[in-house]
Amino acid sequence: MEARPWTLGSVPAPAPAVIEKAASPRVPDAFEDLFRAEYGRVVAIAHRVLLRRDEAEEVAQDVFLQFHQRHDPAAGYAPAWLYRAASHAALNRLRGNRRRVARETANHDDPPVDPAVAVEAAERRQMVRDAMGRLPRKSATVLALRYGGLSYAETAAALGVGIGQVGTLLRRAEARLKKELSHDPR
Amino acid sequence: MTHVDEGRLRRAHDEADILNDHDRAHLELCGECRERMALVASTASAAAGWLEASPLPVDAEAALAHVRRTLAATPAQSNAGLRRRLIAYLDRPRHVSRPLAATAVLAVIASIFGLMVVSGTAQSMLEIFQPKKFVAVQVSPVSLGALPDLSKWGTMGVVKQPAFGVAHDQAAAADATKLALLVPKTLPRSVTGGGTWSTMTDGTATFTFSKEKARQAVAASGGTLPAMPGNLDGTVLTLTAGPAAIETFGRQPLPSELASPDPSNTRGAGPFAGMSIPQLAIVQMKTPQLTTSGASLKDLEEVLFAMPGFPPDLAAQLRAIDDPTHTLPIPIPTGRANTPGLLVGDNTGLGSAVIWEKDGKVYAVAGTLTQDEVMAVANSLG
Repeated sequence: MEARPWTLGSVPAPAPAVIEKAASPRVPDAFEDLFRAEYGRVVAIAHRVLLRRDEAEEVAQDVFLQFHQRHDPAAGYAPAWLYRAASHAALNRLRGNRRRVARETANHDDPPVDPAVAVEAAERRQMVRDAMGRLPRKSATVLALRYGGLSYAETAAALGVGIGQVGTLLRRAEARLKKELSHDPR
Repeated sequence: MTHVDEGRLRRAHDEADILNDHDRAHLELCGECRERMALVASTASAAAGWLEASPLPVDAEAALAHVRRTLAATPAQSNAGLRRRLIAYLDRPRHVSRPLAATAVLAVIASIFGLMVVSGTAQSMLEIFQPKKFVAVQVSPVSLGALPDLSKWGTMGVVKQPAFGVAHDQAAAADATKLALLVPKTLPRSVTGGGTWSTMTDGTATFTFSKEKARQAVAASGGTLPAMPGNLDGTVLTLTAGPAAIETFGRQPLPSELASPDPSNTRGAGPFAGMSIPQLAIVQMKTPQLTTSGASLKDLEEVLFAMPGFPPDLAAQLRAIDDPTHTLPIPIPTGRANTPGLLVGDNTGLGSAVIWEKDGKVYAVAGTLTQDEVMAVANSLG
């Protein structure tokens, strides 16, 4: 069966008034409210992937900027979108910048401690980062969301799955992470 | 004996209340399940340690100040507003249902024309609306902003909640929706990646008019209720929509990617790769229908048009529709449509959409594409 549209019309480009209004760089109050309410959780989600606060904050701010350019801050789906975007953006940063990251041994999150302990902690973080980078995207995402502090319902909303599936996804992801880390020769 | 599945065991590690009496009784008797639960808990605890799942204090105000500075330094994009709204619409999480009355225009159009459904049980109901044709009506966002919220004129009810899901392929989507689904034979070159299927089962909602509620709503805004037909009070409109399937393709490059391409952020590997940001969406759904238990479509129209603040030009456009029972008016902001029709788009790729009905199904093809590309996709469905 072939379906064909039966008629058509056309529309011109958007009116200048619309363009002018949309081009304003002013940060609306609703966006500021959203930022204040969700920034900490978005950073936490990115941090579970990157294990570095400075990188997690960069990712979180970029995610909010992208959201501001594209979405209504009052939209009901805003938190779920931000959570998922934070996880994906952090994973892409991890995978795209692996070479640069591999050269870094210190972590800005570490308090000043014995240099040997600091090196060991940095190596352990790098090992976990690499393992997260090797996981299937969905597995890494559910780990970032859940260990980033989201409830099961919030994790389900961010993933776009039923709440009953979260436990199964989380269990599989944890098992995969354990397997990846147990195979790491370091 | 049915064992407790690992998903429930894992959730029980965090939320012990999730286990019901049957699960608890089973766990008491089943050593195998207790062993699995211990393993699940052990792995979860290890993962919490690896991922450093502890609170991370942040300075949100300092971060917000940085974001403000970045926004102020970002050059405005000529089509940022429309693009944002279009992408935001396409980018909505698939499991989130569209609110029926999110705006005044939706309250008006959705309450009277957009509430399209048929009741499967009420045989006595008169079918008053089933879209077979689509026509653009030009509306001014300013005048619509002054309209009262029609949802306050009665009571909304959900008879059957639609279920949303994701299907692996066309066959699975067809199985979930019981629809014969079409797929495009050709796609524009700019559209990347394979199709992703989402599904919705059928749902039924009702709206029961109440003269008293309408009077209160109008009085609250300082107006007077227009004359209403005697049979309107208590009239139940029943809308049945779905099942439906939507296939999405590709992803929309972000404005930042367009402005400063980054080799590590190519399509398919960018920061939002894997997210539902489609360039193209193809919707197929059983033609929705609307029935009424009392007032006719003409009665409803006249009440609607007599509402304080209802734009006269919009009323004139709706009255001019030859076959209102089978024509769905699609509101288009003033200045965006110069020819009533069912294709809305431009030739810059900013966004286009086409909608039509055939053999009891409504089809829509939309995307951040030119109207020629959208039409080519629509005509290739088979």
